Amino acid sequence: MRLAYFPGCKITFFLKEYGRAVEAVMAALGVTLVELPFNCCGNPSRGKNFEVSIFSAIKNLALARKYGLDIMTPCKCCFGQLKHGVYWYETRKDLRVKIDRLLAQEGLFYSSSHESDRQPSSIKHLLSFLYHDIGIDTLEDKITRPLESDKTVLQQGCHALRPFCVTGFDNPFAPQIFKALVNITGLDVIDWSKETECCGSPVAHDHGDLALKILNNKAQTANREGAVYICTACTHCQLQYQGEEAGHILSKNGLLAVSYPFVLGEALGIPLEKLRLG
Amino acid sequence: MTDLNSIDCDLLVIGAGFAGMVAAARASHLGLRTVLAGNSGSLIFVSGLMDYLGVYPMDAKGVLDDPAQGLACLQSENSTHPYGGISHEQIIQCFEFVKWILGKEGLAYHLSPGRNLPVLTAMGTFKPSFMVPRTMEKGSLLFGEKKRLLLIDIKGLQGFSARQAAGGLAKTLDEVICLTVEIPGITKTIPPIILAELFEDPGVQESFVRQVLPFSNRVDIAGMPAVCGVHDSLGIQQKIEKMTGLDLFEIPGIPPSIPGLRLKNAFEKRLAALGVKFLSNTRIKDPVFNGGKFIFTGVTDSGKLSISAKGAVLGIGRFFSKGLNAGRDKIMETLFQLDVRQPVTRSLWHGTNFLTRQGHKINQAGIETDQRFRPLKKGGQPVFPGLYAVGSILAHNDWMRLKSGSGVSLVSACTAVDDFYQGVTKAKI
Amino acid sequence: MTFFILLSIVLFFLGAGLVYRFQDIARKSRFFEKDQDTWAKKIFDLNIKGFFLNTLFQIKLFKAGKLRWLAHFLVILGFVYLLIVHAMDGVTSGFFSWYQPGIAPFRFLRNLAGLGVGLGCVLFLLRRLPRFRTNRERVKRKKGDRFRGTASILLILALIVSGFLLEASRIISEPRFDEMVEEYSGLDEDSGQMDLEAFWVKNYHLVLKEDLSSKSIDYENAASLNQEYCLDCHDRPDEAFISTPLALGAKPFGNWLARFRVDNVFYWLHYVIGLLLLAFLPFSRMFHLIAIPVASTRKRIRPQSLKKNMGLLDLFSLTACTNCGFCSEVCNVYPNFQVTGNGEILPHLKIETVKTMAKKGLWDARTVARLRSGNDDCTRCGRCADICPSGIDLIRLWESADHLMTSLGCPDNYTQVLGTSFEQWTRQDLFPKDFGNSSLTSGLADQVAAFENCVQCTICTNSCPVVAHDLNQNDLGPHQVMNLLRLGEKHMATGSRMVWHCLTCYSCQELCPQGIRVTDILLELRTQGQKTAGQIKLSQLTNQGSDK
Repeated sequence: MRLAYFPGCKITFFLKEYGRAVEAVMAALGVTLVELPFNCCGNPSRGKNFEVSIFSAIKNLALARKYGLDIMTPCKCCFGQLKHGVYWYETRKDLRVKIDRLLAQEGLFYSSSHESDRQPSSIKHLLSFLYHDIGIDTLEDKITRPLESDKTVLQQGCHALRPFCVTGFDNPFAPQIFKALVNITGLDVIDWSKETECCGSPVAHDHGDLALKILNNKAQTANREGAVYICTACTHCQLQYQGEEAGHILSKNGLLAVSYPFVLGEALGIPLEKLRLG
Repeated sequence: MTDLNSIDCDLLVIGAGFAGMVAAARASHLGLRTVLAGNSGSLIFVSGLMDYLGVYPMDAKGVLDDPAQGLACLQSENSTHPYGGISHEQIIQCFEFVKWILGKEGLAYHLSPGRNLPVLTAMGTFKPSFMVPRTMEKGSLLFGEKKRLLLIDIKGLQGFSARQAAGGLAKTLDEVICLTVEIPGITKTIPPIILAELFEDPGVQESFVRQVLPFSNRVDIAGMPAVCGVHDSLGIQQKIEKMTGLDLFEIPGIPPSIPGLRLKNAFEKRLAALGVKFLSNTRIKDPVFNGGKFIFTGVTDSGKLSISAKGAVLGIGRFFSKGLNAGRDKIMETLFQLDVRQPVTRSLWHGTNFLTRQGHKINQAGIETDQRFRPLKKGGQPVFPGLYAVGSILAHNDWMRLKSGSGVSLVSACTAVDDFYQGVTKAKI
Repeated sequence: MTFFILLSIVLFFLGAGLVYRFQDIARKSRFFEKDQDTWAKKIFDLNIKGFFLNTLFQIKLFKAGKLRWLAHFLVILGFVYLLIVHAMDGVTSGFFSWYQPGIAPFRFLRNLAGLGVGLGCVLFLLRRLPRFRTNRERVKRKKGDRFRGTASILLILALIVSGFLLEASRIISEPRFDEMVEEYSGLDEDSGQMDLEAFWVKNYHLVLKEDLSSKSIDYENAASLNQEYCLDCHDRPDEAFISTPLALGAKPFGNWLARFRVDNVFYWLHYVIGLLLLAFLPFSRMFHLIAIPVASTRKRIRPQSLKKNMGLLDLFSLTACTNCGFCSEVCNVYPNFQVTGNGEILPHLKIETVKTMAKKGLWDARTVARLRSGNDDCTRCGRCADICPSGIDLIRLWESADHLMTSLGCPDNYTQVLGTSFEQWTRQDLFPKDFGNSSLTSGLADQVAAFENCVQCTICTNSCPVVAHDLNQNDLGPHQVMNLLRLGEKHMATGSRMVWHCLTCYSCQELCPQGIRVTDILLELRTQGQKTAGQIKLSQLTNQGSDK
């Protein structure tokens, strides 16, 4: 299976180890990740320049379409933004015309009227890819080294979950996919009152105090409700939880943030140094 | 939507309000492959109290002590009411089912078969209800008891004033003390759900207890607005009771209502666990009935998906939720364009007196069904064999006057799904 | 002698130029905060591996573009060889007695090196032709910078060409032959000079005025004379596979060339060009020869250290920038440039602007504001720093640039909004002209149908994590923002904290019983507020500039 790999902007500098874990897991599952010259998904521009944010998303999709590949991203913000891009591209006609013109300058096409034999690329998140395309049962069969059943809570990541009408990812109020995928690794997923609430990453730069308050609340509730791990499947969430200050807050509450690619990688029996060092 | 382009299921429940949730729960409990579509946000509007039948007849002055009595009376006079063909025992079974389903998610309810419970409201009045959250149970035991009551309101929380409630209680109770509790860090108006989440913080609980404790010897029982946590409200209440040594109960308030949110959370968790596919905010359109199956189009922001289902439950509510649409001279049902039972002209929709005991004709308008809740054609035949209408969209049902809204919803939902289930299993045999 | 005087002068210039450049850079690389790490620590915190890999093998350039790397490598390898073995042959032959420029294999190697350098230069020039540039490479560059780059290449090419011409002209030059004979053999007419001449005409392509074909030549004597006086230093020139064909081609004009001593002209040309290159090295594009190795020794920034030393603007590394444009080709937010046309989004242009800003402060309000906007678009993905062939630590630079701009009074839009009073925010004259009303926005905030169904049920506000966790600082709940829209006070809404703090978690939108796209509306309001913030910022910067 071949996929266009969309690492997003956090893996390339801030979270190299996250990316290596994704690559190791995919290699173990026999999936070929193709790197295309993607640009920013457009999410950071959502609140700054609407045109830019939608054009960025569509340009990536047009590129993937050119190579006939589906896009897979391990970041929920990228996933959501690509989905939003499709929605707004279809909804706003003038914007669509402008985007098509800009794309054509670089020999790219998104809308189905060009090269209509070619299907638009579908957008997958790491989790939905594992759950639907690899299959939860197939994946479970490949677990060779189940982890100890430590109590784990999930940070679902907003941008894949909501709005459901745009993302179509999972039940937005009682998500099941992530839970099932973590449970098969051996960890014991428990309910968390803040599971679907934002991690605070979007205001981490502008309003650090608010982000810290959210983080503190997350850590305290998770601890109170009995967790030892917070599992993430989004680069922004993971980054939010593993910063210097965040790490301190979490460890004060007896918690550790782990990213799902790591967890799965270990359960699949991939050597740890391969997950860390690539 | 690339994750789903088409869905095949046994039953599509359209509308994620209370009736829709119950129908989906019942269906998945029976093992049907169930899809639920709609907006569940409106569940936050419900009070969390589940009425059976509080008033009958409509213009009665008092309230019903025993809903079974009212039911008997109703069935003898008005067989077109949704309760028309259902026995008291069946109704109790439906209530018990909902209680059991919610209990699975840790949301405990209380009911006393054969008896309505007078629940203290924020106005200081008592409203007859049948099944109430355990956190409100003790408030229903106040009526007629000579207890000393501490009424607590919270600074920053709008919509509940201890003084106002106490004013209404002056005739019923001898001694009512009012207390305003301040939550540390709250300096301005706080939205109720956010306050309820704050109540899950042990620090906030302690501060609350510290302020209530001085009164523990002067009163027997304490009432507070329903903000005692969103998750595990009963656990938090019991913890506070232990710390204060006082009996505690919650008083339902105006929307957004935390008991409603708890209900929503519990349903959503349970349904997900039962394998119900929930299409949040997906608009269902263009139903086609062909070869014993419905084909619906689900419209999302990212495209359309086709849903084929053997049956459909219509729980799309009334005007606010756009299940019914009031045209200039006609009320229409918006999805199947079913016949809507309604007054002949618009001028008859409302009476002149807003608070009239007779209620308004428009509130009786809605979909007419047979006793199995299948919408009827003009000739009295079901429109489609597998189509059911449940909840507030049903005709002959002034839920406001009769205090029967949630009862009608859950009874119609359970009955409709049971009937559909029997039809499916028969067909298999 | 003249040569040594010139060389000394040039070396002096070179030294002074280098000192000037270094001092100038050090003066401008200012600390904006005092409590940073000390210099000492910085100096010892070196990236030795990076230095070797990037200086000797140009590993980063190799990753960035194979053809460009090839061109560079040819030039560098050839140049280093020529510099050590050829330009400094006086020194080199002192170390290695067996070294003679005129014998195998050195003659061949010199031509090979020259060819390499020349080929590399030609590749450089070809790449600069418009037809070989990719779309992205055509992004605008400063004219002066392009000129400096091309001038340096042409100068090197001229050096190489003059070198070959010099060698070719010397091969056939009779006066040069005479000089050598006089200096090394002391032969005269009687002792067989003519024999040797004839031998050289036959074997070494020498061109004589006199026609020797009628004379009797003792070739055996000539061969032994050649063996005795010449062969130690002069193999047959055919190994010089470029100069020899040139010489053969020039043979018909040999006498004419000899009469005007064109070989000497080429000699001086070659030296003067070489000296020019040397003298202008600190000020030409060639300075990157020195700057890149130095920049490559800088410790790379890591995510953990990103927020440290933000006040340090490492201008020295910036001088290593050759404006190659690789950074902009891989730039994550290149589409932002495509849509907005703001060149200050692109790294290779930002570098220039940051350099100017470090020198002149807020010299041009409009440019600084554009830089602020462009730099705020950057997602710190680090792809520019990864590819930068000069090894410049670009992520650190973008952080420092933010810091520098803030300290100069040009904050990001968020800070600008929160620091602007309500009165100023709502001043009519600051409304952007294209306020809303564009078919290229999400089109919600200006469309009554998008929010008129709001019944103020407050479910949005109740579900909002910003309201929950920022309770006392937050101003409006989402339902109040919707109400402002219903009241026609959109502009007021664009400045609210709610709009700027929205986490975009979409809880409100998912729950809204009326299906209002609450989050999308908040986001659109923020995009509109960005324009107002930009205008206010620009007017403040302009005033600030005119005050000075």
